[in-house]
Amino acid sequence: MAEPIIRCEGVTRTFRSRAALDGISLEVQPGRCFGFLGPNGAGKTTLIRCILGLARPTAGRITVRGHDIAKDPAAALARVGAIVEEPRFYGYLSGRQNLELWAAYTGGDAAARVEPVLDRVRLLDRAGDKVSTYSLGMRQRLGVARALLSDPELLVLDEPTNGLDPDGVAEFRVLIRDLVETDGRAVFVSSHLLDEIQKVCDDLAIVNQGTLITSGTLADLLAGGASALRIECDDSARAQQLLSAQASVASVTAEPSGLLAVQLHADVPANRAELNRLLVEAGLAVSRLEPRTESLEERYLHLVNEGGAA
Amino acid sequence: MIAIARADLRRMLRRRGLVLTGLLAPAGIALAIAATVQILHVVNPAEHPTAGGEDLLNLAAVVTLVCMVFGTVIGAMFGAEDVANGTLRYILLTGCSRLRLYLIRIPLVALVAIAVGLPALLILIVGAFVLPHAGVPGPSGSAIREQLLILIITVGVYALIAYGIGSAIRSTGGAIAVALGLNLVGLNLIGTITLVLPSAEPWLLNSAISRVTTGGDTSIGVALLAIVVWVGAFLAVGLVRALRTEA
Repeated sequence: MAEPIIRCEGVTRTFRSRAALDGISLEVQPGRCFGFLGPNGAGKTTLIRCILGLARPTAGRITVRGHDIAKDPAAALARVGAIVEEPRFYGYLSGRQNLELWAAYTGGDAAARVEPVLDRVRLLDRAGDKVSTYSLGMRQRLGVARALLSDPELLVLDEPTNGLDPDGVAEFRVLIRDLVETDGRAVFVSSHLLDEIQKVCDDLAIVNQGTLITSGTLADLLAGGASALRIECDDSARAQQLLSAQASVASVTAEPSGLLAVQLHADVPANRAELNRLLVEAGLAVSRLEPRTESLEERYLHLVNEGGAA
Repeated sequence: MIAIARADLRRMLRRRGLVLTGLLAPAGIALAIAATVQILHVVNPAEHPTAGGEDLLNLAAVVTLVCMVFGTVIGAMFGAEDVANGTLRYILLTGCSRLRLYLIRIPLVALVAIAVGLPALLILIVGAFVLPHAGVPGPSGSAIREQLLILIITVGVYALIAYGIGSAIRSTGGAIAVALGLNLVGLNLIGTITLVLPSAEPWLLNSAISRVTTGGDTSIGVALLAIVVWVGAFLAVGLVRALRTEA
């Protein structure tokens, strides 16, 4: 596996006695989209600020592109672009003038990228207008354009779709996937929107109250969730009684439709055939038995509410 | 470094409202002064025998005061703007250090503040030559130099003090209010210390500026040192905050 583009080791950040981050360790691989998921106030922005060197961790170590952010921030951030909290610009300058200014700060050949990045985020036709006249969606796109000026290997986007309308969200999603798949850039995107993360990310971490609950690939996370069955038979009450007594079954709930929702323990291999045979041998007519894995939303709520590990 | 300074200067000058007001208000006042003395001269030449000459140039103090106010606003605004606006974090992410950014802007703030006041002084200088001034000398080179020096030092010093204050305060409006309060009232109040400590007089900012620009009782060396200490102190406070403030 390649050297992680971000590596956090035991990152802790305390405000007075409160730990905003508590020993967070995670790795982000190059060329992947990494989702950082958590409820509001979970510590997402705090970790992002630490990763970008805008805040110092109380304890722990962060490397970005192999450089320690505390010791060599210039090298670490040389090819990193970011939107933190919200994109801010000089409202009295046009979009193009803003990018030209940031290109001067960035140095190198960033000035030559101003027009291409404006084109990339589809702002060329409004590039001459003052930013104060831009909608939030346009400012977000201009924020991505600014982040691309340094030809970044890594983009860090903090809640990039906050306040966008559905069209804007969908557009942003396409842009992020394009940055990953076409350009091969790594994108670290924080959000409290599960749907957004599920649709754009390859890997993710879930954080709550400053603590990392789980991290890994999206597929592994979903696969590691508790699986469930939905069963329809001619005697739901008796089936519920029989199934509840099984060691592999965590819970059985009768749905209003008459279907039974059977939650299986994640650590006990589900044996659908065994349960089916149990019901059939008890004389029940099973007309439907279908597996159902947790959605990311269910998995997320399960993990956040339980505070457990995957 | 030069590319950043050039880009930052362009940005400052593109604050059109502020820059134009800073240019036009003192220039308008200079024109109003010149027009008023000319009207008085035309209406009652016996009582007002001259409109131009060094008499008009000596009225530049009014223009300098107005320029000082705009210099203060410019300094405070450019000191506080990036923190208040949330743009500081994006500048830092480019790898530009806080120290570098702070130092680059010191000459830029002084330059912009002084530049917006120069047209007003130019109007008075031209007026001093072209308006009737029979019986009084035309403005001499030394008189022009003196007024230029007063404008440059006064506006530059107060703009830099305001820049230090602006860098120490996270709100642009708050920074402007504090800087104006200090520059217009606070420093004069501090001057009352001479009532109990007369020996402190050479070290007061206004006395030092006056000594450097127009001559006075204290030596130039002490006056220059006093100005450096005052400006340095405020810039140091601004720098400490600029290095520590949350971006």
